[in-house]
Amino acid sequence: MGLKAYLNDIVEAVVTTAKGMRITARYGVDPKEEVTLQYPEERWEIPKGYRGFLHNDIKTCTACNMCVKVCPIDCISLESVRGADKKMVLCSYDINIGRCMYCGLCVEVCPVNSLLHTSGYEMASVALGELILHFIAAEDAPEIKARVARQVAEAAVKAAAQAAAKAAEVPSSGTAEAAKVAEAAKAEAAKAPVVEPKAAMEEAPQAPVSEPTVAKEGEKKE
Amino acid sequence: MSGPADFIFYAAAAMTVGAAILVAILPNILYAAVALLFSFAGVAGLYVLLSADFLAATQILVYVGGILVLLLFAVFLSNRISDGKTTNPTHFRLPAAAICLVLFGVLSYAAVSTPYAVKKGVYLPTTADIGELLMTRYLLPFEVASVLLLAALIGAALLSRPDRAASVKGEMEEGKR
Amino acid sequence: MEALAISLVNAVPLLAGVPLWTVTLLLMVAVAAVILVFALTFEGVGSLVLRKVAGDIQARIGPNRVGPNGMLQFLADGVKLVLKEDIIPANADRLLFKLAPYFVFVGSFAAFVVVPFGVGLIAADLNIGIYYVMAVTSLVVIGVLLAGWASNNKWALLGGMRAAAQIVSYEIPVGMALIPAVLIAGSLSLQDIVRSQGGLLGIFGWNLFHNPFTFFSFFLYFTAAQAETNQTPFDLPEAESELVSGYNVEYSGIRFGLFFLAEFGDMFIVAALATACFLGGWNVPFFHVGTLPWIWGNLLSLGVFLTKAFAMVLIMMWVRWTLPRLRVDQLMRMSWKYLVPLTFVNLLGVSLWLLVFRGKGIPGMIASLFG
Repeated sequence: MGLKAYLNDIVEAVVTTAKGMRITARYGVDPKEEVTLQYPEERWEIPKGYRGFLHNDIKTCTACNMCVKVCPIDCISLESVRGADKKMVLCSYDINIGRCMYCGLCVEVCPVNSLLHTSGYEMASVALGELILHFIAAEDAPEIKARVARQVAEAAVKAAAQAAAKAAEVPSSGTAEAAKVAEAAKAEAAKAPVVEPKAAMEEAPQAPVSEPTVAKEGEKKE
Repeated sequence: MSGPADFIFYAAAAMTVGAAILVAILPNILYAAVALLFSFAGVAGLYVLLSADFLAATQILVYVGGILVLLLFAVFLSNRISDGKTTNPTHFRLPAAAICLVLFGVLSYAAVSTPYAVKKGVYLPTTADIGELLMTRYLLPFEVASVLLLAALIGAALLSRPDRAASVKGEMEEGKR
Repeated sequence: MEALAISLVNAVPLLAGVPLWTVTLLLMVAVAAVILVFALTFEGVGSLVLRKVAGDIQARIGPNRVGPNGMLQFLADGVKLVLKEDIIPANADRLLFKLAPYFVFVGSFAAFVVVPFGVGLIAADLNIGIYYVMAVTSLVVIGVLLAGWASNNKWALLGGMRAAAQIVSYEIPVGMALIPAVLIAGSLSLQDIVRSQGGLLGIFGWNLFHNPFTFFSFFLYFTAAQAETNQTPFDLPEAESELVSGYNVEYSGIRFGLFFLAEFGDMFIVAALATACFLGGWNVPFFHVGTLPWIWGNLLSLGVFLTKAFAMVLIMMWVRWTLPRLRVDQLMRMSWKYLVPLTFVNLLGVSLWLLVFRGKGIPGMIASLFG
């Protein structure tokens, strides 16, 4: 190392130090440079389109399952049964918000805009299970299922009765085709009341077991 | 000298000698090093009582700040040093005792028979006079000592430096791979 | 101290029967207590200011919860340090582990003895003042090394080794950079050095402006001293990001507190030495403090000294929060290849200047031109 390089090193050290100290002095003196937000007392303005916690409006939700399918980390789980009017009825809708990464895909895919990001971002809990948002309480699920099953059964009975009435009318005036339809309706009517409630009852105890086991533990702790 | 000065002298002397004995008998070499620190401090206290404040500060600076640190470094960088049994073994007791006795006799004879230049009263400050003597009367020993130390420094640097040619060659071979 | 004791015995008739050395001893203890209280207060407030300055420089706010505007934070910290559990690792060397913090604290605190706070405010005006500071602070090295070893922790050991290597290396440039002030005053006593910068020249009587070499000497001293006290651009022994916190990683409670206090004590010592040796010490510009009544002269000079010293501490903090940490090899290169040669050249320059111009500085020569 030559003398020139040596002296250059010294000059560079002094100059760069002075430069750095000028910058820090500016930060130190200027109170406007402070960027700290004293969080619990001061809050930042939430921007438009902010992706906070998810919220599902279960009244408009059609249980189309799109959000469940699109979720890349499977933090949404829903359960539904087919109602009397052939529409799906939700019996549980859980979002594990502790796992959610706020990608927003579920909101985008929701056809009825029932699933939305809120502006909420504060949530603290002592147990992991508390981070699962239940939009329908877990204990309500069997009740809903039973109710829907009842409605379906009633509708089926009604339909069978109607079909039977029709079938009774038809042979006198009708064709062979009509007779076939009546047969089918009869068979269906015979099957429906037996099978459907059974399936509902079988599924009912399973529903709480599938996802929110942790939730139950958390609740127990409390 | 009045009472307290005597007391301080005996305290300092006791500290020096006691710590020195501990240095000799402690099996753990680190404890011995710490005891050595107290011994040095006691000697510095004796210097202060002799109005040799510059010498006292030098004692602390050189022995505590230099030699003891060097000693500790040597201990830290040695292998198996924490194995207390192997650090300070006692061998050759009889020859050692003989050598010690002879050395003690020679030193005490020297200490008793030397005609010291005694100066009564407080003699302060000593710094300027020490500096002047080092630059005039004792210039040659001073310079010889410094040249010796410089030689030791250069030698240490030379020994601890990795063989540059070998390391460059090794790097090139590494690069080829 | 003995003179003070004699005057005290003369002033207070109650003390007439007491032996003089007892009075002197008690006075020494009292003075030590006063200095200890000052040191502890400085260290407490210093830690708060350090954090506040850090906050300002890093565009944050800093502590602001305890007391008005966070002013009592240091009390909370102190209470925490005192009350915290004192943990000694199971495999640590218990004796050395307990002993090490005291070495560090004593080494740092003993230097306060010769700090010239005012015209008559100095615990002991040793005629080897600066040399004494250099000597007692070497005790810190031992403490740090032992702390690192006794913790039985590889980070602590690495930190201790680094600290020792660093302090030993930087002691040389620190000492060499202080010698110009000693040469000008012709004495190692800090009071003499301060007095040599007095007179009617005002701030131009300071050693800083004595001649170009002393000017550089000041900056060399400041850089080297910053390194000797393990301040941030040179805080390799503590390097949080690599060594957790270095030699004191296993320490908790009041033992950690002692290391912490020693660090701030060192900071003040460095600032005080810089003030005394280069910035005129307690000298009030254009004014002889000695002519005032004892109490006012001391108060005024104390104020001047502390203002300068605290300003230096603030600058140290400013540097601390500006520069990134050096690497070990860079640190050693800086000491041995830059600071040591430069301080030697400087020393030579000052000596030659004093020889050629018969001890006169540039401001003095200009002043003598105008009569």
